[in-house]
Amino acid sequence: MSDEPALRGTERTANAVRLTLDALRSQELLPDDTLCVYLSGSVVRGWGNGTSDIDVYVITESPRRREGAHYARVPLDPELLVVEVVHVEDERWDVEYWTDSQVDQMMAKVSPSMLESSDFAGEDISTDERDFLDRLGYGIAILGEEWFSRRQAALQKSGIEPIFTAHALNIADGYTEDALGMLGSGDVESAVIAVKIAFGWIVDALLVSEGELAQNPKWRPQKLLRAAPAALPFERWWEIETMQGFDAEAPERWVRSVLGACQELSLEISVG
Amino acid sequence: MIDANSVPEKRLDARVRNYQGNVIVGSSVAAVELNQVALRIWQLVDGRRTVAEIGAELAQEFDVEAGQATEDTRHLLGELEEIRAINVAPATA
Repeated sequence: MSDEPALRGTERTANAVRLTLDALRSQELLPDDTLCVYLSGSVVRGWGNGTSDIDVYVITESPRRREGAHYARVPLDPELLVVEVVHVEDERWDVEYWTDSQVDQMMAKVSPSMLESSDFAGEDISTDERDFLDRLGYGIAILGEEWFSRRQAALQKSGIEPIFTAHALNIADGYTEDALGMLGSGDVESAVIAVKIAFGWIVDALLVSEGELAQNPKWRPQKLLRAAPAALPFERWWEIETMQGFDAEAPERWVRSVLGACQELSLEISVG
Repeated sequence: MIDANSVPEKRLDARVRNYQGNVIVGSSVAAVELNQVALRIWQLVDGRRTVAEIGAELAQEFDVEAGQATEDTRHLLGELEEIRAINVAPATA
């Protein structure tokens, strides 16, 4: 596929909506016990580029098994996530198969009670699960509208935002501690790296608290532009992210300044 | 001993959480929940202002007597110092 998208985001999405069911049926990718099919991912979100694939989600009652399919492990029962890669009209489509039971289990992990009952809420959620939950929020249903609406409503009522926010803040705290320890031992270079990671997690916590659930650094600019959090204007984020003001002769000063910014942002990030 | 001329500074390892408006400042030792005035004091701690200057700001913002505001500030900062959320240095000037 060329670097230039043949069709821009909304057109690509509309095209995929039109083609999905026929494409899945013709390639025997639509099991009989399918409960829902929906599209999501960066193209649907409007952030896709020429190399972005179309993400299709198929929810079934029973696990899919097929020779030649790709498998990923998720901390669920069943633990296999099946991914079929297909090409439709020059587009690459990633088709993920999740069972209804796996979705139940993911919803349980982000129930409001989890935040109250566990200091480790969110830690057992893998990147695949997190992406799934994020993408459920803005997907486009092609089949099984009732299932899709019900799950979206459940997600809205879940504790996903405070759980992911608290989780990101906890990780940021860990890297903050690391950075200070490194400064204390004279390992300034490692401290610079640690504080950059801490800042990334703080930004993610802020974005989650604003409804941007996925944790993928490459989309931070788009998410910040969309969420426009008052606590962190885009220009300020970019200034820190690109290390403006960093003095190679005095890196410790920059580390401390960013740690201070992280602490100030923590105050502005509401958990819950 | 914290006095009116002391200069408090937030420790960078102090953890801050905002649970729907309820702000908690913690450290490896303990945590303190901040009410509205305490939160404002925390925000005014910048490593430059003295306790008296923070008290004066509070007195103006909350319309209370400056001496009392400074005393309240000193008291809270004592708590925060005890849990190692701030460091306090004597005034340099």
